[in-house]
Amino acid sequence: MHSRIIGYTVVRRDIRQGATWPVFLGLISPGRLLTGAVMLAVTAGGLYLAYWLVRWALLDSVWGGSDASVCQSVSGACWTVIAVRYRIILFGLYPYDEQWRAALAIALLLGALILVLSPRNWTPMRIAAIWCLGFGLLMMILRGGLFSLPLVTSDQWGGLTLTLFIFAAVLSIGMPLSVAITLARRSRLPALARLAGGLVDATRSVPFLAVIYAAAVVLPIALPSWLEGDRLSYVIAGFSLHYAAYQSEVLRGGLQSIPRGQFEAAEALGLTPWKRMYLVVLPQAFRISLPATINEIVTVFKETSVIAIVGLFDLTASAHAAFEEGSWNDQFMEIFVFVSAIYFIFSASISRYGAFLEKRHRFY
Amino acid sequence: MYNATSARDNAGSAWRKSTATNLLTVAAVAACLTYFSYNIYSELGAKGINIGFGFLTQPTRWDVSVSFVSQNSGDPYWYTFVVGFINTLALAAVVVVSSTILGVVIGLVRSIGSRPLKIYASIFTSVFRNLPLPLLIFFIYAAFIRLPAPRSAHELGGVFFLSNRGLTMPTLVLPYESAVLLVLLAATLVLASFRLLFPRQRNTVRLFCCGAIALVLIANFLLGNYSVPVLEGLRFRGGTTFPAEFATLVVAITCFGGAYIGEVIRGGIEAVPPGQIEAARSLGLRSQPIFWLVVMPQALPSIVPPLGNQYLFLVRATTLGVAVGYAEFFMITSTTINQTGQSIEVLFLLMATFLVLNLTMTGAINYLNRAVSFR
Repeated sequence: MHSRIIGYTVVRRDIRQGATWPVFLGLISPGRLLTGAVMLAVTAGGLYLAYWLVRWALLDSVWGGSDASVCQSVSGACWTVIAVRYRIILFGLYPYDEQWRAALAIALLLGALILVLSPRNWTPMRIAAIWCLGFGLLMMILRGGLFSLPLVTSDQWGGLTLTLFIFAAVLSIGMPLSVAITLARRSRLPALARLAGGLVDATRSVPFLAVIYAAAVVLPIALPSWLEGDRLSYVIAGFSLHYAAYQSEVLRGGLQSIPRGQFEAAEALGLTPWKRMYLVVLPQAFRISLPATINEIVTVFKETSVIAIVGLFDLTASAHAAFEEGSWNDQFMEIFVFVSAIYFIFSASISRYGAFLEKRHRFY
Repeated sequence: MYNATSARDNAGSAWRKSTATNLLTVAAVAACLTYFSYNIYSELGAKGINIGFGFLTQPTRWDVSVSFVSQNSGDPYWYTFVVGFINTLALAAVVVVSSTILGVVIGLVRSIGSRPLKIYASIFTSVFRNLPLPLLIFFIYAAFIRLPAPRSAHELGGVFFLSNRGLTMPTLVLPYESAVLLVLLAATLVLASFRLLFPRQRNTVRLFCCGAIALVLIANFLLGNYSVPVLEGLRFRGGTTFPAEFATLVVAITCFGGAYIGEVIRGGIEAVPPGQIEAARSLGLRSQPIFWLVVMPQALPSIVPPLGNQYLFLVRATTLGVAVGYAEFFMITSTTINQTGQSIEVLFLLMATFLVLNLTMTGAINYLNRAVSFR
């Protein structure tokens, strides 16, 4: 950096690296206006912030103890709150004695996700089998009521368990739904195509919160009594529709960029329309739209936190509850850091996984 | 075999194209909708709720929480909806402007900034892109309401106060004449820009309007009256207080939107081929003109469409105001549904409002897009 201060070097470097960014907008770029001193100050400021963070989180922090009294005399973080309240954050209102089931459910969901996400399992049959088996087992463990496991209804589910459950449920309902909507939009029946297009446009222009709220309000009164479920299932239905609308736009983009010759070649092979779609067109469309799909999946994971507002007890809501209780009132920052870390790890690893997939040349 | 398939295919497509199938689709959808409507109708009837918009003229009998426009329990429902809509627009306007500013700074830093600044900006982006917005809102609000009370507020220069009530700052009180003058000048500016007034002398008029607005504002800043907040008892008198709820939402949505808009800006700038800059340098242009005359005009066409999408997202994200009790449109609708049970009508109003808002903004963005694209 210091070499730029000396005029001669600046000129030489500018000539040498003709293609790199020139020094403009002196405020944000080093150069004639922003001298080495200012650069030094900016760097020092960042280092000080980092030092302050390390002191707060590690050097001045408390880890032990079992109640809020240990936090009184600490200037840094009081991580005791996590040790004491982590069960609320991870499992919500799930009955205390049964929380091993909620933990098992998290492990099961993660296992199913990893199995589904590894490319060698990417045949529709295998994905369907993993999901069906996974969800069957999950409901058995989480809901209980079978094999002497006490029944725990969905209004008691919460925390990370509920967040992951909704995430998995929305993906597994929304993904097939989005394929159906995309195909309906390309249908040669104008009525069907218009209906699907209108549904997608309407869903996309209304706030997500309004969609799930409307689902939670309208579905209980619109559905016949034999179809009625609990609040969680209505919210998942609304969420899946919202995700399917966005995902179908992504897929439509992928579908549109497939050359006409692919359709013709498939037709020339004598494939039926469904087989053309299923064997030739859709696999390529999925591959083309993969980066955008990964973005959508990360968005879905983050959007699960909106359901806290319609009264479900997900990770965000339970984090809120963890510090709202009187004695831990001042430890909200520690809880925020802990929960943020959970969200960050999940969404960053989904993005990383997407980058890994993009690097693979053949994955289908 | 080829012939057989093709024949079956043609027969199929003929069948699919037929009017009968179309009608069948429409009929099936209509039947489903009728069935659901019948269910809704009978269910609401059983609860004794009359479907219709008659309730809009009834008094609400509840107060809205945090709002910019005053409302009390005697005001009718339609007025309360208008209040909610104004609050939504106020939040959306502030958030769109602030996250654009933050996003442009971050985007520029990430594409052309110096090494340490680049590191800060990329940490900021990756943190706020990977955290959910409701979580941010809940915790920034938690931090806000733990600030000291107005009596011991953090102050800056004795005029800015940060307390658990919100951010209090002095305001410029415009005299009636200058306010009218400013509105007239602004209206002329807008009309002239769209060639609705002075179609020939558009640029002259624009220049004149901008100059006059600046003059009026400067004169008012120098000579005008300020309303300065003063602590009086337990609260502030004078100045403007942005409530803690509003400030929370602005901070949270700005950080979130700024991170995304920063990526949009960076993508646009980096999409300009390096050959363009080399060519400009070989013409002898300095770095500032290169940026404003060569890079920006070529980056804008690829920035504006995704930027427009971000704006639409930001406007929809204002509905999260309900999480902290800011009385925006969604909060008014959900409270109304709780109080009256008129769920279908109110949801219709909610959806229709956001559809119209969305269409209006899409139109504006398309206009902007045409303006920046090369012809």
